[in-house]
Amino acid sequence: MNPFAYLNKLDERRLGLVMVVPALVLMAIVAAYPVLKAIWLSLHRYNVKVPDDYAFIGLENYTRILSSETWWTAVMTTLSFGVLSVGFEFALGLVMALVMNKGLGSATGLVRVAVLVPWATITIVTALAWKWIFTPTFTFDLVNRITGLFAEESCMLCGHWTSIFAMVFADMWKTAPFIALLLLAGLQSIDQEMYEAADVDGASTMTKFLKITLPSLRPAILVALLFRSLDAMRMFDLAYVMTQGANDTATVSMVAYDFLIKRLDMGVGSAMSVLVFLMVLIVAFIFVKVLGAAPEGTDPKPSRRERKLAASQPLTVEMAH
Amino acid sequence: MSATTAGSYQMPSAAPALLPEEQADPIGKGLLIGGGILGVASILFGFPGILALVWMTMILVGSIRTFGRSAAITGWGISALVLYCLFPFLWLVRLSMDPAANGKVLPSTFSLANYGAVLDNDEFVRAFFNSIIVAGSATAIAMLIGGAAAYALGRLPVPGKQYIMFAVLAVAMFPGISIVGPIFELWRTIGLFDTKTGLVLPNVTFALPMSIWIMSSFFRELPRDLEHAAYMDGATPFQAFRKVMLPLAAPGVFTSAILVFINTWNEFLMAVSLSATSNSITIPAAISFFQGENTLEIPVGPISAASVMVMLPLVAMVLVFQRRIVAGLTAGGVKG
Amino acid sequence: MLLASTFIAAGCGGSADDASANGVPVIGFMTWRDQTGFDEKQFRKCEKSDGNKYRIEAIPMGPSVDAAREQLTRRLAAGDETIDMINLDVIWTAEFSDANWIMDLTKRVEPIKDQYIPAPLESAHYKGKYWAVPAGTNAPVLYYRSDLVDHAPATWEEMVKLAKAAQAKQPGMAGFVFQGAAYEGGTVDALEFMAGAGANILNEDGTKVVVGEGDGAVRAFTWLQKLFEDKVTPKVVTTYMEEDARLAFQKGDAVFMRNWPYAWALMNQDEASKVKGKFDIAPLPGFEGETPASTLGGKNYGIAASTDEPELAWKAIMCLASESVQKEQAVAKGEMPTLKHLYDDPQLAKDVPFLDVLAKGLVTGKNRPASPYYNDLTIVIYQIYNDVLNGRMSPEEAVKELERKAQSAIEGKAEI
Repeated sequence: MNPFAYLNKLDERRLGLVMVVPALVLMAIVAAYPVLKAIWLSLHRYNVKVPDDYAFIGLENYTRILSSETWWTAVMTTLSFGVLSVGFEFALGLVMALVMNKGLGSATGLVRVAVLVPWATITIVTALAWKWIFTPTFTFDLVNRITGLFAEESCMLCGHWTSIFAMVFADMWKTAPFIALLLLAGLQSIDQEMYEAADVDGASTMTKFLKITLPSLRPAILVALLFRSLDAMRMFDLAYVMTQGANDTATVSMVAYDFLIKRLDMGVGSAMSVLVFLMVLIVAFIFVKVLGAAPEGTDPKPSRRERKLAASQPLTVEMAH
Repeated sequence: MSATTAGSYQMPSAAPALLPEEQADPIGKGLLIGGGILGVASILFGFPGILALVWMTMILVGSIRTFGRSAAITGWGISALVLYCLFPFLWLVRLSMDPAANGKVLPSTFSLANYGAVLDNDEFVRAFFNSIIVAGSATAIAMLIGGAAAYALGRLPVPGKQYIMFAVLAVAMFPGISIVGPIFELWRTIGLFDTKTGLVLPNVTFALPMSIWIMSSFFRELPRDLEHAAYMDGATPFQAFRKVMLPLAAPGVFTSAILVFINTWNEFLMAVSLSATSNSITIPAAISFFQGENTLEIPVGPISAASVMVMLPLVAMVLVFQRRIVAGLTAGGVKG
Repeated sequence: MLLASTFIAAGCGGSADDASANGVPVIGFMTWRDQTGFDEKQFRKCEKSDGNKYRIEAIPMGPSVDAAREQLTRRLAAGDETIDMINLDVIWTAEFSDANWIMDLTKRVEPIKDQYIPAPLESAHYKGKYWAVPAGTNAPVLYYRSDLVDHAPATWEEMVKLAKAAQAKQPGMAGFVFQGAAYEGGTVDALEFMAGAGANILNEDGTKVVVGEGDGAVRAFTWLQKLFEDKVTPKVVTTYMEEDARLAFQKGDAVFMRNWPYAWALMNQDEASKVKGKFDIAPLPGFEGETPASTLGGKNYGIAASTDEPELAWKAIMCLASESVQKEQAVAKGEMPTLKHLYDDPQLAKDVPFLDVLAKGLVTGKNRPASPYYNDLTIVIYQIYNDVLNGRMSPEEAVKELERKAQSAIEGKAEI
């Protein structure tokens, strides 16, 4: 008696469906249902504390949110955090990847482990650790002196921009290693012959970096930036633990949390979540359609590989002659 | 293992042998040693911060003169990188021994009392086992369901494949806070609130996009000829999957399993919202629930000790599986 | 194997509901997570003294007031039947009773109400009804370094003078620390400073914002900003919660601190404390020419509206809020009694050395405004307060904005 008797009889097409369905069903129950419910609630006036006052109000929640100063402040904070954190993470990640790519001999293992530790750290622990590092009571003098150079009375969490930078710093710590690893894989897949050809031409290190390394890394960079940007747009725990939204550092997710969880205002809160989702979607759209980043399998044409080849070929030719 | 590598990576001790005798430079060496002593002393005894500029410059100039520019910069780059990555962890270790830092780098006592307190805390110990069960089960189920879907989406002619992949990605994009409410109500109705199953299901769901994404790229990399050969031998598509493709993609499955495990181990929002008692509380929630003797006191010492303790299994895992983790992280769509 | 264990665990996952192993009804008590074992001890004692007719099981909440409220409201809104009894923070009465989450206890409380101190009792009172029993109260106090300052100040202005004099002799020290972060504790301090200058946030019946009447609020905000300008208070206090202030004071970094009584024992016991025996406490001062004011904290025990066992829950409350438990918790947890006569108890006065200071604080103590939309209101208050401390808003602007936003908050139309 073969337990796979049924599956064994299926042709490729049917088997494909059977294998996809469990995942889709689970996602439909645990993710799609709540998402649709949130969208539905966002069109209603509904506070859990006053269940009787429930009414369909169309897009009123959205117009209220979009005409509020608090919301746009939060949007600006989120965008500032997103641009800064992704930018710094990319820069640091690239440096890390280049350092690791040099071949560190016996240090390779140590560096790899050290780089993976932040990534494996529980986010809430990351937030607490950095909060304490930036709090004079819980840190040591050297850190206070260094933060004192940037912030009044070495209080990083006392001002708008210094708070944002403190959060960027914590986020960078946790995720730059991740970007570094993605880029490292890209670096290692670059054809060494291109560098050799460039060496023959006497190209400088900078020229090689700009003309060979960066273009070859393009797909890796875009995918890394895409995923990091999506996370940054939804950032919640760092702000929640480190600043509690003081000095206009509340992110859009935090404002939504205030309404959904603290004020129990499901209508406005859900509308905010939908808006956050739209923001994330726009960012994803920009990356996928405008910049051409796409995880494999979502791209209708196999053009990415071709485009990359097309991009690198003239260069090789140019370098070779 | 890390101790030996730590010794050898440090450029100051490893590099001198590489340099020819005549390049030895007494000024450089003096600067290096003097700066080192001053640096260690000022960190340990909390000398004024302005001195930091002095000893840092001394060490930097000294090492450049002694080892050459390129070696010194690489060495310092790597040391700074390793220090930056480990610093918050080390700082938690320090706070766990003596939570009132009072500006000092070294703790006033090397007491492990807070670790003892954490281990005596019944809720924390149970949370640890809950975490193992929840993360373990979620990983196993995600591999089973996600692996099947990944194979289908990666290699089989599924209609509307693109749309499915986009839907999968969209799931990963919706803000978690808005999903929590409806799931909470649903779980209360069907009795899954404060159960481990109630945490496993959302964790599986949120693990699916990433695991499908990584595993399908592994499956896609296997050569097409393999299936054809299997079909020639009379295998059905499912037999080809189970007997030929699955064993070959095992490394990919293993890699995504590690990633899913770590992500689930770290998950916070669902953990605090869908659990209430030791029945289901996981580690991140337990850490956030740490309470002092009254509601105002924040037990920094025990929280730090607990944070260090939950990092140890992950650090061990990273040590053992570092190669596979790197392979898995870099699998999806970036090899070009 | 892992799969199997999950589902087995799920099978026995249905948490404590009515009818425990030995057939006695279970009272689910949603209360602060207690890792000291103090609460468990009281539960067992009460079960025994009431003839083992019920069993109390703690449903833990916490660790902060904000987090506890989030956990509670989520469960109450979903009609959680495991909760029978609730340890209510004093600010939840209006919201929870308005949402029909807690039971009207007027008939039961009315006969015994004269035993309680008025202010804590008032916090369990809303819209003419009693919704809970005061089980513990708390008044903030002014901690001062008795080795640097020879007497406690009578007004805030005097405190600044004393602080500056001490700072001049001890450079690098802060004069005054308190709670400045944007959270519930910030609201507490803000209301106190304003009330100390004669400004209340709401009128008597809680329907109208009156904070702009008179110049009290502007006076308090101006004084607060001056603290930072004169370096009496360091900038970092804008991020301080209770523990941050306590640790700074205990490190020897501050001359004065506004905090709750809990810090007394910790600062005298903590190994790292550098101020053991060098500090004293006094009632909070007010501004010159005004009555001193303090904001009360505390807990009330209420019964969940969805309970099947109101009689047993009431029995349990009467035991857990009884004289003997109140005395024990005053010593063990620093939570002060709500029963009047305990303040004349000679033994308690010996065990709690600052009891008389607290008693004075309780007399001037004010409850936070009662409003079903208290939570929306407090967000408005602590955000504006934090902005004032950070110098992001002038006192006049802040009061105007506070008036407008607080009014829409208490009307249930909180601005986004």
